Amino acid sequence: MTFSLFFQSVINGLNQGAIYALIALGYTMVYGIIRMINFAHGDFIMIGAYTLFYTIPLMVNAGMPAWLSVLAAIIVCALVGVVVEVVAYKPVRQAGSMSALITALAMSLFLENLAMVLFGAKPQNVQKIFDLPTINVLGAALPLNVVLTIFIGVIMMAGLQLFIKKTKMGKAMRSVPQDRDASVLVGINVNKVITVTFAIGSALAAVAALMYCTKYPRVTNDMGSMMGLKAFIAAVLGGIGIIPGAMLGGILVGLIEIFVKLFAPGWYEAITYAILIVILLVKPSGILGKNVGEKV
Amino acid sequence: MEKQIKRSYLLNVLGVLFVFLLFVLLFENRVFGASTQYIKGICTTACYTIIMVASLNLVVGFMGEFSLGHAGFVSVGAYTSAIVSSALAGKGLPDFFLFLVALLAGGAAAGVTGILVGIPALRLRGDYLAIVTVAFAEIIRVCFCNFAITGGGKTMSGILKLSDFYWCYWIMAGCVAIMYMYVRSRFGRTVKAIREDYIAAAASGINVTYYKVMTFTVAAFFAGVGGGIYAHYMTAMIPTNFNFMYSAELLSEVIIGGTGSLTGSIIGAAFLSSLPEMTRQFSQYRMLVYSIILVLVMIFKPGGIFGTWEFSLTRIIKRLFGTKGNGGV
Amino acid sequence: MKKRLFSLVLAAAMSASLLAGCSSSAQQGAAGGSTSGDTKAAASGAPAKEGKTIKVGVIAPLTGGSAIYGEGAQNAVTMAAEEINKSDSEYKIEIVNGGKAEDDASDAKQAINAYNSLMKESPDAVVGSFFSSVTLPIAEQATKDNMLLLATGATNKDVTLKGPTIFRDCFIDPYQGKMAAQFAKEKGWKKAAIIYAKDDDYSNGLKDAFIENAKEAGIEVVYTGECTTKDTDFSSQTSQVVAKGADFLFYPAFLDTVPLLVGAARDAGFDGAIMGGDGWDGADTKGFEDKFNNCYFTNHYSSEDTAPAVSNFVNKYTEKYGKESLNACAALYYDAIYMLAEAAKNGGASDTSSLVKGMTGMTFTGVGGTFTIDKNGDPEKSVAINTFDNGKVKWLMTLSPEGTKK
Repeated sequence: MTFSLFFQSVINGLNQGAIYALIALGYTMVYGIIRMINFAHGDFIMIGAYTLFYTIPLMVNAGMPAWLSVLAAIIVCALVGVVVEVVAYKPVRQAGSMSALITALAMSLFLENLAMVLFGAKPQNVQKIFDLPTINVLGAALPLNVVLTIFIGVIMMAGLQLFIKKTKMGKAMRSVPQDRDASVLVGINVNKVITVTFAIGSALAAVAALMYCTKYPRVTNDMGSMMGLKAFIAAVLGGIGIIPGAMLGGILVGLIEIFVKLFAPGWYEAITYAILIVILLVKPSGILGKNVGEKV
Repeated sequence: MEKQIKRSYLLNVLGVLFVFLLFVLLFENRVFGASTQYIKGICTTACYTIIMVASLNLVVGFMGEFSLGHAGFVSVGAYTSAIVSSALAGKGLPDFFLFLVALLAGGAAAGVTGILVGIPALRLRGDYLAIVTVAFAEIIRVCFCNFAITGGGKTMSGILKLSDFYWCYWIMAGCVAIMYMYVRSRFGRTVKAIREDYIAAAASGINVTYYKVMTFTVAAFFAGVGGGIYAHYMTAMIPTNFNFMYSAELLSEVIIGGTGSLTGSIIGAAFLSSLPEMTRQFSQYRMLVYSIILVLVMIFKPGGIFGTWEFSLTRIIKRLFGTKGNGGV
Repeated sequence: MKKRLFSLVLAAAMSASLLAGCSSSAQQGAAGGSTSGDTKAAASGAPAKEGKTIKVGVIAPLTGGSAIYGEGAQNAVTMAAEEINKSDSEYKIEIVNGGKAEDDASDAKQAINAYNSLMKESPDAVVGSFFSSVTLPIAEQATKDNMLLLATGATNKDVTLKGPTIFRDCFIDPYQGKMAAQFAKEKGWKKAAIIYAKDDDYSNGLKDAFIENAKEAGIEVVYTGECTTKDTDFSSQTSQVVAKGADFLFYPAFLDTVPLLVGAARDAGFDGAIMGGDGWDGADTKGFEDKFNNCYFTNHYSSEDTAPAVSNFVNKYTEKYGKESLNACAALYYDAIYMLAEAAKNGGASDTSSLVKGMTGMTFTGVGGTFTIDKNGDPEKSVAINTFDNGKVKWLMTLSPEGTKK
């Protein structure tokens, strides 16, 4: 392997990893607070992407930059996220993690098929969002949107971290997973906290959709399912519930996938899943997590 | 007591035989006319789905753990049995015997995979176990995509068409009966105890891991048998058939039918595997409706439609004839 | 006690509805079939004479990830049947199941049920399905039933080897891969790279055939990369294509990932030719117009072809249903219906055995050009090579099995 191919692969890995990281942020946020794997998170990305697909031409016609469509996507995603939470997740919240997981799976199926009925099954190309050049570094092509994606990821990560550590709502969010009943006792409206969490998580999905569509400008109704699973792996690798962990995990998964593809392209998915298994068996709290024993 | 149990076994065998004769009567007299083949096909589909769903219910319902990777075991059984049956074909074995050997081989291979997956995976519980089973199933799928003997990602075709409905019916009945007996046995009761209170079970000296892995293995074995019937019914398959969506489908059928009720699994699987056929006219909305039903069941009857209720022929007969007594099957 | 009773009632209701569902759908199906037959005959003006109507069952992927193909198939079949019934053709076409194609959702599990469901109306022939993995189980069953199956997009070479009643109107994988190699030789490309979807029959078939024929054509395969049908990221593979110094990239796959691959290849700095098979037809080039320059694909027909059959099909289709679902699949289903009408004429009757007799060895001219069905039931077709001009598909040349013709 020449140096330029190696360097190019690092760039490719960062590129893909940054997208995983953005999606994983939403996963980790929701899991960290509700302790529920939101299978439908990948499908929120799909909804965001379809919103972009339909609003970008309007934006461009109105003479505004295409990326402003992300605002519309954020609103739509947050709305869908809240509706899904209130209609489907809230009624089963008391029934235990199994019911929640099944409901999330069912919602994922529902959104995918609804999208197919509404938008058709044909993949659609999203218009160009950013006009960023590709520069040449050390004999490798570095598309500047990699830098932008990582930049956005870091900003979002820092923003979320600040929100959770400093604001009142953020503190309430941290207390809910620790002890839900006690949270109620000290006057936290748990339902509201969870709804807000979903709104934020889904809004993050819209931003992730923007960067996803910049790199892979294509929307289909089933784009979310595999992407969601990979992003979940990224979140677990970094330490689920830990916001910087999602960033780290995403980038690692991206790099690993790209490098495995160099040597054993047919096995790259197996390797990604094997990483998940190993991390869950060896250190379930992830790279950045602290081991916490199970309470009796 | 001994006599009563014997009688109830006999009764159930008679019940199964009765249903079988009913089917034979319907099909042989061509009550459905030109649709006979179609309905027979649906019934065969229902047979293997029942085996797969009931076996998954052992894990989900009776062990209380979440497996989202059942399609992985199904695929191991399907491919193994297909390879065995094509290796043994033309050796002068009668078809039914060949079919049985292939199914047993498929089941055994899936069972071994179950042990290999279960030992590490069952150290986890809840959400994490669910995700790890997905990961294992996906790894199995990728393996089949890369092995030459399974077609290397291409369709493996030319598998003997051995899955006759009448045979499948009896194999299904046998599998369900064994699973039922497993659940009612000392092992089954232990597993239920673990489900109810993991820590208390461990504290009272139950080797939790052993019983969990064993149940997981039994479930994988029957999933493999189901996969074998599937392979010999479809005659051609590609690893992508056994993707995450298939596991999710099986799991939904368990949930809708009732976690912890084999009756629920049987009726749920039979109903849901033929639901796509009934709604063919609305093919566009099929999956949409399916997911809505799932959400509604989750909200209004989280234990599934049958909960933990079991159908009992003896009980019904006792009621009918008014004999007092509290013994079920 | 009450709960038990409730569950029992539910169970009974469920199983009853199961049985009712089966039988009622059967009845409905039968009823729907006959009424639609009547209306169709009435609509076409002249009531079809007994024995002159070919009852055709159609299977297509109407839902699922490949619904776009099914949509094209459904439109094309409806259009072809209408045209034939309006024309003075001796044999009329009746699409069973009320004129609707049966859905297989591109899922092998549903394919057999779809086929069996068609059988209850005892059609004379079945058309479909589009994917090899779905068609293989159907072909197995059709052989058992002695039913004429005219596969459309199933390019796996085993499909027609299942039995003498199985035909197809698309070219087989080995043939298309060979023609791609021949085209590359013609163009003078020397170093080929291949990226193929490992979990797909079609992609594997074309790749194998291409590699087999490349050596003969004097082409060196410098890189073989793998992906899956669900992949969206191709940066690793395309970077390696560039690093290995290939001047030609072969990507046999279905249309949905084609723009992503082409985009990734161009972003990685690959400016050589990129080529694919008929799965590329209908690929969305919006936003990728400049990237699709110097891309080629082999196809059954070219929408630019000026032959009357092609232009008639393309114009009528676009007028009725728009360009969205106009792809190779639509053309293949359209031809299939016409082939059956022709086979009936050759065979002298509309029953299955006459159709099989008429179909065997038949020479047919349609959207896919003029071809003859060989002894396996496969057509020997010439291949249309298309390229892109500013994102629009443009016909480049037609390669016949023997050599080039313009």
